[in-house]
Amino acid sequence: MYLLWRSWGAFVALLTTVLAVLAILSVLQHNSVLSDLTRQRLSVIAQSVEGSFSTVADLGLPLSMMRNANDVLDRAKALDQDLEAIHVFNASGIMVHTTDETQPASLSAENLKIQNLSNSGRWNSETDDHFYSYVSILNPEKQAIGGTVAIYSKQEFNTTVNDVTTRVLIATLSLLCLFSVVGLIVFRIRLSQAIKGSGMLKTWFEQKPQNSETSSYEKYDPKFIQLRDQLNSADENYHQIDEQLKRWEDPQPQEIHGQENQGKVKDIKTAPRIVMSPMTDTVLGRTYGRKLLPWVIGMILCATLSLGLITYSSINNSFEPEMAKRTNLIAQVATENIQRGVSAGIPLEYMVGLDGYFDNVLSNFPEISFFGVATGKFIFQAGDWQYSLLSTFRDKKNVPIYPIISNEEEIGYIIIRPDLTYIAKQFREVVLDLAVVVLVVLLLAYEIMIIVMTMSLTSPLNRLNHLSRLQADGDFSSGIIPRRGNLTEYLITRLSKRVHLLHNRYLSLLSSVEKQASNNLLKNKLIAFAEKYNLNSRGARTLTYPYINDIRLSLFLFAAADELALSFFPIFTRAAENPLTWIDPAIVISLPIAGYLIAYMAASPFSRTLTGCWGHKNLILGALVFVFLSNFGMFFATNVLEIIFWRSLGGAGYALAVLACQDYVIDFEPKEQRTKSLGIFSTALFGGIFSGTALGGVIADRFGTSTAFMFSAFLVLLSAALLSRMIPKGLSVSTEQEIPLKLKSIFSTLKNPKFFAVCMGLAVPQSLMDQVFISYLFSLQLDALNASAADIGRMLMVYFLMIMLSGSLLGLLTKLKIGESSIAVVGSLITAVGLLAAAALPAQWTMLLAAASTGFGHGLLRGPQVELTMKLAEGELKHLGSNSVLGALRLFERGGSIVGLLVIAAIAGYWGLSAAIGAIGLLILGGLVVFVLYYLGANLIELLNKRKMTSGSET
Amino acid sequence: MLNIRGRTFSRLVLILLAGLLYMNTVQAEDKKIIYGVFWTGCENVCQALQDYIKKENLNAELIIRDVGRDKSKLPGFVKEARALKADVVVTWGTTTTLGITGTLDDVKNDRYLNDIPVVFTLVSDPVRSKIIKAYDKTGRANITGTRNRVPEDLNITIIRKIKPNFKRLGILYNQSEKNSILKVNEIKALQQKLGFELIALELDKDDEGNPLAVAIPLRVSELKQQNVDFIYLGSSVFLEDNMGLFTSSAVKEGIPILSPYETLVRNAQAYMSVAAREYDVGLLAGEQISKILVDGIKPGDLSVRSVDQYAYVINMNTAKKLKLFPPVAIMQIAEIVE
Repeated sequence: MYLLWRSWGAFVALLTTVLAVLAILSVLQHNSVLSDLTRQRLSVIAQSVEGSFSTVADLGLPLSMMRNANDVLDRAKALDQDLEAIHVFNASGIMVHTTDETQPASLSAENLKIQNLSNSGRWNSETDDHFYSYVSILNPEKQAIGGTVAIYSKQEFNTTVNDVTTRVLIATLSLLCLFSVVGLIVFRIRLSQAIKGSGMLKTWFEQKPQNSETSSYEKYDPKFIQLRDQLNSADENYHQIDEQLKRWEDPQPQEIHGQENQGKVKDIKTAPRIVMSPMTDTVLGRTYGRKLLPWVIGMILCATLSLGLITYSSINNSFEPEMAKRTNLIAQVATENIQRGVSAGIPLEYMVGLDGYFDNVLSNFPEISFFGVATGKFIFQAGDWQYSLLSTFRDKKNVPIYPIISNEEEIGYIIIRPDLTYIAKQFREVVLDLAVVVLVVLLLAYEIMIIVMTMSLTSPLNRLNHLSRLQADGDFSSGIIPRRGNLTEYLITRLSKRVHLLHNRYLSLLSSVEKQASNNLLKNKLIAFAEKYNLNSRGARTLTYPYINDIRLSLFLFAAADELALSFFPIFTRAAENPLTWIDPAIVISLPIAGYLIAYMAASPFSRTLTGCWGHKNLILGALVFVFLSNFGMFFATNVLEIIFWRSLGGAGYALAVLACQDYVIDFEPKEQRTKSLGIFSTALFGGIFSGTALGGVIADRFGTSTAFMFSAFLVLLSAALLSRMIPKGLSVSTEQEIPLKLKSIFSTLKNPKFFAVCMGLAVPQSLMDQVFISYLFSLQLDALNASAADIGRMLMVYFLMIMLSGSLLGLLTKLKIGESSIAVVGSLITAVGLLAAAALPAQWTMLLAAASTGFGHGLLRGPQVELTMKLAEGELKHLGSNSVLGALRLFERGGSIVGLLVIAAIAGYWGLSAAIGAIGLLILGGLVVFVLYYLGANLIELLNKRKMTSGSET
Repeated sequence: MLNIRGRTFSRLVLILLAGLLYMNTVQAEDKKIIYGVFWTGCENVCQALQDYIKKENLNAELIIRDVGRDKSKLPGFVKEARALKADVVVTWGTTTTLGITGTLDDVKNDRYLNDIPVVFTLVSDPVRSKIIKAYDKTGRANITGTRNRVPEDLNITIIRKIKPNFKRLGILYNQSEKNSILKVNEIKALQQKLGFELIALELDKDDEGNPLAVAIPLRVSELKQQNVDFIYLGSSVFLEDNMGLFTSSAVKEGIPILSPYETLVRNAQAYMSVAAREYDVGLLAGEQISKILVDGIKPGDLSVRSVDQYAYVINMNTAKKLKLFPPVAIMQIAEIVE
């Protein structure tokens, strides 16, 4: 039953983690949406005050000189009872009018700075108790001469948040209990064979291994019987060796059966020899992995989606009333402004300036599509009346009506129409944001699940199977570092101990025989015996199983940590103190990113050499120290220079960590699985990037940008802790002597046509696409096509998702025996087609298509281009060493993207963004031609030469 | 024992009485004289000054002198101020101030006060009137003052907000008031820049050269004939004095008046004003006087201070009569009077 409890325990731990993460993120997402909606509502009041003071500004009077300002503020404050205060401040931030004299006499320096940086002239903030909505007041020259701030109590918001948090918490606990029970039942059923099988192993173990009878176990899973038979054979082999050694050890025979009494044997100290063995995916592990994986995925998916739906319902409950409140408030403000004129004696028909007033309202509040002032018929209307089938008269239902009163009689009314398309779009955006959060959690769940399944189920079975098979085949050369655990681990420990015991006895015997010069015959027999059972005079080997799963969760986490700041980084830099006043602010904002890219490029060529020097584990951990320090430093950074320094440090660390992880895959995965593994690597990496990008905004919004950096630092620490636990000890790159990295060697690589083809035909154009199209042109072009920032963000996510998808497909493609070069050609082609389509037909949908196709193509290409390079490094370019070959690839692709950035930027400047996108598409096509001509051409020439040689030798 | 105590007590009482007497004498000696010269008696500025002295407990006495619209009285007030050894003189309006202080060219002329501190109020343009050199540094050791008018281009802007197709501005001016002439010149200079035409008509005079009130409706009618869209009061004490006739004539002709004086909107039929309250001007003058008398600052070191609160005041009755209603946006900030 240990197998059931262990697997189920791991599942519950996974479920708890996933649901806890989703619950936290859901509540954060809900709070973010509700806070945003409340602040939007608050901004209606701030804007109404701004509207009044703009008139003062338009007329040229200083804001402070408006005598009846307090009447205006009092009228605005009366609009909402939760409104605590409204202030008007001048250009220096000094409060010139206020409804609450106890408030600070001036605006904070930080807010003045934000005002200067704000393009829209609207911004907001919040503290634990209050929301603040700010609007700048502009003079006719559009310069800010002050602003207005509305302060709103968070009491109602906090109550709603507490309700939702409680609801989500109860839902989370209920789902946890429900799916834990379901999981137990499913595991019990799906693992019934394995439970019986492990029970059989236990019985076998407890009844002493001499019992080699096999016929009585037919009711069990044949794979377990096979394992049991292997253990039996291993036992038999062990006893044979034991017996033989015992005979030679006479007159001091060792009683060794079962007790492993190594205490009586002289313990021979030998240097520990750690040997890497590929993680062989045995039938047993694979079978039970496959049996459980779909169910685990299904249950996690159900639990996640259920919680997602509950959050959706909470957001929906908050969204509709808030939007209605806001629309109502806008109408209330408009009605009150008109009512003021009417109350002063202006007949509705003579109301002047309504068109300008309503045009202003419509442009400030896009959720309103129509305003009408009617007295039975419209005397004024603005915007689009979207409901042609509906009557304009007030007796129709569902038409919001706001009466205008004169002398206690209703003389007319205002009709307001919400823009349903806009509101639906807003809601869709909210739902899409929530969907992204759910997707992030599912990605995280998948990564954790793979690790949990590996650690709890497949890895122990695989290791036991591997070791028992070796011993059953008479190979006692290797043991495994034991782990604490259950029967499987105990059996592994036992088999490993035997190996060490036998080696000790063999070495002890060999030593005593060697001392007796006359006993050469015995010595020869002993050596022949040892050779038969792979006993080594240097002592037993210890097998380690480096595997891609050792690094994938860590890779996911630190990639997420690195990208967490992506969404708010330019704003964070812009808000920091800027000592570089002599540089254009737009350039200053880009400097940390430039520093990051340069550091990334500078560090990339050395990653392989450093891996050779320090080992993968040490290099990754060392690099993560930089990434950690970068985020930690960013938490305290206050000026641009500090930000540039810390971001550049992070760039170097991130480059080394990512590339060392890639080298881990390259060095330790079996060559035949390398393309597939590089696909998994890409999936984990871009899964992390996707998750970090998606979550950064939510975390920064709820906790502030500084906290987001601290959270990143925590993720890096978590990643490092996992790595140090997961990566086996004693790994080394290769037993071969690595050739050190040389600058000359880097450039020599280009002489090889195949390397030239891979590098210049695939890697450089793809890097250019990634660094220039995705990071630079993509958002600019979509902005020019009137896409919102949120839409741009989501389209970028499509790019990352497609990389993950195609990265996962690589395994399937290699299984179908499709060569790397063919995959690379297809990948390049798909990328180029997407880019050319977006260039030829500039539209949002073609850009979405381009994001999908470039992502898909990029995901297909990443693995094969490294694999092709590695094949060259291990073949034709072996004399230069893999350090130089991989270093050259990384240097050229980064360098190429920087040069390309300048060229493409120039093209964009002269011929426009579409032309620049088209240029990248053509460059990729050109690269493809280079690749086909050089790489496949070189292969063809080789083939022809071989044929010539063969025919020559035949003749 | 009792005797000794009685004597000691008597001495103490004597000492106390002597002390009180001394303090009274000192107080009486220190009481400052504020000599106020007002064009039409103790109106808003004067009342505010009185309130300020009371509220701030200034050890000062305000002596009020009424010009009674007769500027020939002014040299006499100069002499009296000197004779009373006034600590500070307050003046009301351009004509009064010019009569008391003269211009920058008169700094050595004994006919004007160059030796006693003067705080002027309600002077429409003290710089163009050459009373002072500049607002921040008056250029005259004994003079400072207050400002209460918005820049003239702001008045044109607001006219245009109310009448977007505004083209012609009418103004009546009084040749005998320097400030009135200066204001016409100032507005003339804005014509090209702000894209309007100024129709300026001089007020009719009697044989003695004094403006004739009865002719005001005629001149307003003439402005109407010349198709002016708005009348601007500019700067004229005479028109202010005849506000009822002036504003009603304009309403009769269907022309709105924009006034720099709030009283014309509140107490007559001017359409609108963008102005400070005269009462606020009086309080500000009180602050300037306090700086001179209490803090001992020389008037020449004090900049001319501006009133910090203005209001758009609209007479809604006039608006209804003219059927000229202010736009919704202006209604949000305007003070409405019926």
